[in-house]
Amino acid sequence: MNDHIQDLAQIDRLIHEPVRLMILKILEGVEEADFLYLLREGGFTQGNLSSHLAKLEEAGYVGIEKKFKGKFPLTVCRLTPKGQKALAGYARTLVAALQPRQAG
Amino acid sequence: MKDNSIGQPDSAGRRAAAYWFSDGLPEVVFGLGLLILGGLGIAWSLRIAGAWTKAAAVAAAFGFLLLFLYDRSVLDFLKARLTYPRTGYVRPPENPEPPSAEIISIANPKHHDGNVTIFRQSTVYVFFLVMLWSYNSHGHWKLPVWMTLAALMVYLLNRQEARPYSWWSVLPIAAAGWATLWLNVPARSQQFLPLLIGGAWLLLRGTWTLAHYLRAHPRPTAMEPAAHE
Repeated sequence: MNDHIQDLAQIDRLIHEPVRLMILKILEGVEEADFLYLLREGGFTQGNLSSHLAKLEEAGYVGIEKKFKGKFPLTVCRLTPKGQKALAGYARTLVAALQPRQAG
Repeated sequence: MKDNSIGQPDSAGRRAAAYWFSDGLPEVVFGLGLLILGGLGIAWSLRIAGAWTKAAAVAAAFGFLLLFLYDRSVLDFLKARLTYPRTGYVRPPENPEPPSAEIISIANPKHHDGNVTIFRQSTVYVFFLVMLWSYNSHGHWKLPVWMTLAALMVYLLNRQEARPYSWWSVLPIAAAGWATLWLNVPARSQQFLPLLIGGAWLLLRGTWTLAHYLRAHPRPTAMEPAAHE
């Protein structure tokens, strides 16, 4: 049996939810993105994205800031260092548990 | 013919980098810059209208240098009025690889992120390089050869980047070079033709992309369609 399989029980459940994982993966690849970009990129509904972003913000994984670009107001989201660390830890745990064990 | 050069990138960073070019504005801005620079260079070399041409060419060169240094800010200013209200704002990554990329690449080895600033080197610099090459090599057959080389470089250098070009989309660069064989361009003006051809090519491609983008994404009526509470 894979030694890491029991680590799955300690996996970060906040990240494990598909919509939140998608949000974090999008934000991980960019410096920052606004609500409209996330909405289009992930194919979320407004309410869905809004509620999941609120949970990620509450956990300190995502920072949300109101900004203006020209006269246009933006709700800009970015992954915090805590969020980066949590996502990397989540990926490490998942990959370690799912990778087939080397024979010998 | 369908342009297959704009594929579906496979990572968030690469998609964000490709998104930077989806409105055609980088090509329009740099294309216009090259076109003005090349046009003024030719006017200067032909000594059209004397002193003001020289002053305008120097001003254009200085303006282009500023564009090179602050291209992201210039484009950000334009995108804030055109792109962000329509399809959203994203700042593409400064670093090519996100922190967990190494871990994720175990499952997905084809991970490659784009960097939007590479566009300057892989596309705009090429035409300056060809201009420098053609500076001391006058002759009817030289320019078509240099422009064919420029087309090849633009295609090869951008193949893996955020804004790739299909092989047939760079053909007009080479074709324009060969077309100069039939034009009676004075030798002293030939060195500026790469800028003029490159600028016209970029401007046309950018305008085409921008027109398609604006048609596909009409400006929303509300200030922000989905304000996060």
